[in-house]
This record gives sequence, structure tokens and C-alpha cells, in this order.
Amino acid sequence: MLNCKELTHKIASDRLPDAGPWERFTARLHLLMCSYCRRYERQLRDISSTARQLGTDSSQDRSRVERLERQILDTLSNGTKDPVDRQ
Amino acid sequence: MAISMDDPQLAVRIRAKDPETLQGIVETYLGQIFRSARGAGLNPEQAEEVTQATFTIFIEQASRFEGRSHVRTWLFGILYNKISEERRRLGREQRMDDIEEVVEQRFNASGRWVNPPQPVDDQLHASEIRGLFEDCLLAVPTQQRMAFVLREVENLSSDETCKILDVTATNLGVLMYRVRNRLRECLEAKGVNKEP
Repeated sequence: MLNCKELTHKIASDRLPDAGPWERFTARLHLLMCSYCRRYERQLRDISSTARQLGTDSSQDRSRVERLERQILDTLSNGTKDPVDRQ
Repeated sequence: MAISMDDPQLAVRIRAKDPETLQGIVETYLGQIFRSARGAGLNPEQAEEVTQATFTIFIEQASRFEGRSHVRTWLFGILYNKISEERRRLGREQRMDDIEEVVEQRFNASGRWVNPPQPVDDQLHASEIRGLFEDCLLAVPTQQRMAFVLREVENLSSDETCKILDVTATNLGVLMYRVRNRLRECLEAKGVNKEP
């Protein structure tokens, strides 16, 4: 069975899903018995969900994106007919 | 305008610099590229600059697009190179990464916790945690941060993330291990995790 250090290492490097069925089973067992590893795993999950929120709630950036999009689309409609490939 | 990013003819139209196709790509991915640049720790102005540079390079080099990888993968690859270039130019890149030693010290010789993770302080509001989180993310080296943003924020597959960062699956595992531990350690040091 994996010790705490090995288990948390596998969790943090996304290697648990690819482990064999026996290792996955003992990993689950370990997490059931070990509150520190459980806490560690939980905290990594919280970090993921905080990260996902960062991606969604940037409303003040929206006007920037729209402006930038218009800018690029403008240069696109002026520039792509030029067949010369600038380096 | 709806253009399919999985259309087999897409690469041909990109190479021909078909205006409608390029426009569709800009409309589909610009927001995502900008958001990732922000997630990678750039301020709004820098993110705007780097997003613009990414699409300019994309349009300039469109005639060389071979279609061997997804157009999104290609765009993210350009973005990643631009961000790394910028960081190197500013001399912001740390050479040393001591996170492995920091984690090592939390365990004894038989791999048990001697310095276990502290419980999260439930008095803290989500918005406070978010602020601290952004500070912590800024301290992470670019490659790790980008790996984190692509996998955790943008939800890209490991395969695609590996292609964008030009690393093996094993390397990506190491990057994820480091960035997650760095963030966890940093949040704990900032008092997000606290003994009650």
C-alpha cells in the first residue's frame, strides 16, 4: 500500500486515474483511513475550483475582448488580400 | 458565424487565408486566449498585447498551417511562446524551484505526515481566497502556471496541454505536481489554512 508521501504525489501529478485497479482501491482505502491525506486531496480540489472561477468572472475584461476582436477583424479585412508573406 | 473547427477542409482554408475562416477563428478563440493570458498572470494591458500578438502571428503564418494539430492547440502554442519570451525579456523567470524540498520536509523517512496540511480557515470569504490565490499564482514559474491554466481553468486534455507546452506526459505530471503544491503551500502560508 502507498504511504502518505507516495499517495499525495500520485494525486498531485494526476497519476492515480492511470494506476491499476488494485492501486486505486488501496488509494481509496488509504484516503478513508487518513484524515491528513483526505485534507490534502480536498485542498487540491478547492484549488481547482477556485481556478475555474477565475476563468469565468472577469466581466470587466469583456469590453477589452470585444474591442480587441473588432481591431483584429478590421486589420483582417484590410490585410489578408495582400499575397506577400511578410516574415 | 459558425465554422466548424473539426472540418477536414479547415486547414486548407486557413492556408489560403480565407477571410471568413480566419474571422471565425478569431471570433471563436480570442476570448479564450485573452482569458488564459490573464490566468497566466498578465495584467489586462499585457494580456491584450500578447493576445493581439498571438493572432497577428497566427494570421501571418496561416499559410504554413499544416493541420496536424488542432487550430486551438496552435494558437495556445503561439500564446505560450509569447508569454515565455516576455517573461525572459523582463528577467522574471526564477531558475530555482525548491518546492520539492518543501514538500519533502512534510514527511518522515517512512513517508508519513510529520507536518500535515492545516485545515482551511472557514472564516475566509471566497473573494478573499480568490485575491490570495491570484497572488500565489503570480509567484509560480510560467511553464507551471501555463500548465495549470490549460488543465484546470481551460479544461484542456493532457494530450493537448503536452503539445502546447511541448512536454511529455511525465513532464506534465511533474509540472502539475509542482504548481499544485506551490499553490497549496502558498495559500497555507498566507493563512488560508489555519489551525482553529
